[in-house]
Amino acid sequence: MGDPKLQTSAPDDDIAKMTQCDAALTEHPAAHSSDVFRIDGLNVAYGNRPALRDVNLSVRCQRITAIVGPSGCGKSTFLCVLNRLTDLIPGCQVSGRVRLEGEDILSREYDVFVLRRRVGMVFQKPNPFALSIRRNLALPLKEHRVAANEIDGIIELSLRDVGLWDEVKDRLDQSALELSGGQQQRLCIARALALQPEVILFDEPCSALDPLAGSVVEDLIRELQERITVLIVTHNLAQARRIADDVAVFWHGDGTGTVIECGSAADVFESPTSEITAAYVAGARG
Amino acid sequence: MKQSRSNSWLNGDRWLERLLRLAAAMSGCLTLLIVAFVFWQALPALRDPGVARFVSDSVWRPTDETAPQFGMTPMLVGSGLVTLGAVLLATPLALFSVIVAEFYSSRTLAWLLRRVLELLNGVPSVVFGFWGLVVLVPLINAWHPPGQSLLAGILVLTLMLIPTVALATDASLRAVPNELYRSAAALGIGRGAVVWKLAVPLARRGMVAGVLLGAARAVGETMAIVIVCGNIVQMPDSLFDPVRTITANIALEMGYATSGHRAALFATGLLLMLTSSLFVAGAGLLRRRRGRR
Repeated sequence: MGDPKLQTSAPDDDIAKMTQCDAALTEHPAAHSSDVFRIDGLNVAYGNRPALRDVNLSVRCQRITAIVGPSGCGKSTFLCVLNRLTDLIPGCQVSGRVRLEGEDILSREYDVFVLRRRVGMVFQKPNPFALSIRRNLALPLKEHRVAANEIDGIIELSLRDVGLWDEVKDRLDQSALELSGGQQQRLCIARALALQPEVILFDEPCSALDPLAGSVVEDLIRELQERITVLIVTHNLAQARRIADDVAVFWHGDGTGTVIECGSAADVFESPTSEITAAYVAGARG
Repeated sequence: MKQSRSNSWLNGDRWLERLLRLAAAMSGCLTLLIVAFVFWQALPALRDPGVARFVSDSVWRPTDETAPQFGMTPMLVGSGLVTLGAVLLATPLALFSVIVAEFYSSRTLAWLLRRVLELLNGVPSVVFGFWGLVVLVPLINAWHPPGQSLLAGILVLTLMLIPTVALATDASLRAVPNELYRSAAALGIGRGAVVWKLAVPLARRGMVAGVLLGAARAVGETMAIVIVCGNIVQMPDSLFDPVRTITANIALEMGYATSGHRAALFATGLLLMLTSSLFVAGAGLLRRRRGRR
């Protein structure tokens, strides 16, 4: 707990933390204490090949931050840094500072197990486990030592949160793979929500779904923002316009991605400072 | 011009297709012919003395001029025990070595382990038998004579089955999509749960298929068995007793067998073929279902 504002709050109580975060926002609107993530001088390389260079970004609490930009500019890599999925990639080197509420998550001492509970992730392709709907939600909960008698309640709550409860309550013990693509994606969101994370990272969550299912998921993400900080990578600028509070534009120069512009959605879309951004949001490039 | 050129190319393709079809048909027909031949040769024995006497006769004395006896129960039991023992021993060893290679070792160690398994798979069975005779049999003999025994057969066959089962299992574990590991990691699920609750259940069908393929190989294995099992036709009382398997019996007696004796051997060959095709078919069925999912 590096941030002095948070030292008084119980570290395990997410709700308390969030209220704290809000209070900080009203008291010091200019201060950075409302930032969930602060990323300074982040560099990522796969072996000798740099993927991200000098990324600086702050992610505001309980806002939707959209990450946009052309393919191959490191957007997904960036997301994976935030919950250290980059650890899984052999030869991937991450340097710089990434602080989650003041704590450096890149330090060796930081427990990834805790990090991944605090920072959930939903992928492009729905990826439920080949287990029953119930076990899909229960397995991570058990892994995080949630008491057995609480699990059923959390499962119902999480499924209600994603609007799936009424659709699946009678077949919780059937395979999750029998659900439709959109339902599977909502199940994956419920699975992430069940762990009560502070942040959820979405990596193009709608692009593998049909438009209708995609818009259901999009609405869902918008509702989540009331409780959770959302980072979403999207290729769909219209989607970013619809849901994002803040936007970060990634671009690649010399094969390396970096942030060329970030700010509130209104600023980035209406009065971009960079020419590249202006052309990109106007649909001229990328 | 262009038209005719593409036509001639098409013709060449058609010829190639015909050639390939012919080759495929030939190998298919040959297999069928072999099955038919074995069946035809076994037919006299299936009629007389008949399948029932294979189990009801008390001894195996097919060369007796006046009253030949065809009791092959001890050999059926021998084959069954050797196969069962080897499969039971090889399965956990193979599964664990593959799981260790896949999840619990460095890349170098995993590479080494896989190469060793492939090497083991390529060792001819006569070499396994020879090794068993020179190394294993004396050891067992020192422990509990005579050494050439059911146990020796099981141990040698276990070594031979490990790569068969392991490589099939490895293939099915590697078919587990990478996304699974990523999504599990993103949920903070530890390695133990990923391996035992997610990856292994997904690969289970492929693993069982691997075990069935191993069983098919075990049932048919001859050379190593002939060398280390002692080949005495008797019902084994313990692991240290010599046994003769069906395969060993064919190998030992085919050279001098005539008429009824010969037909009886073909009948046992037919039985071996049926058993191992059942195992292979089972494995195929499991794999196909997995593919569909």
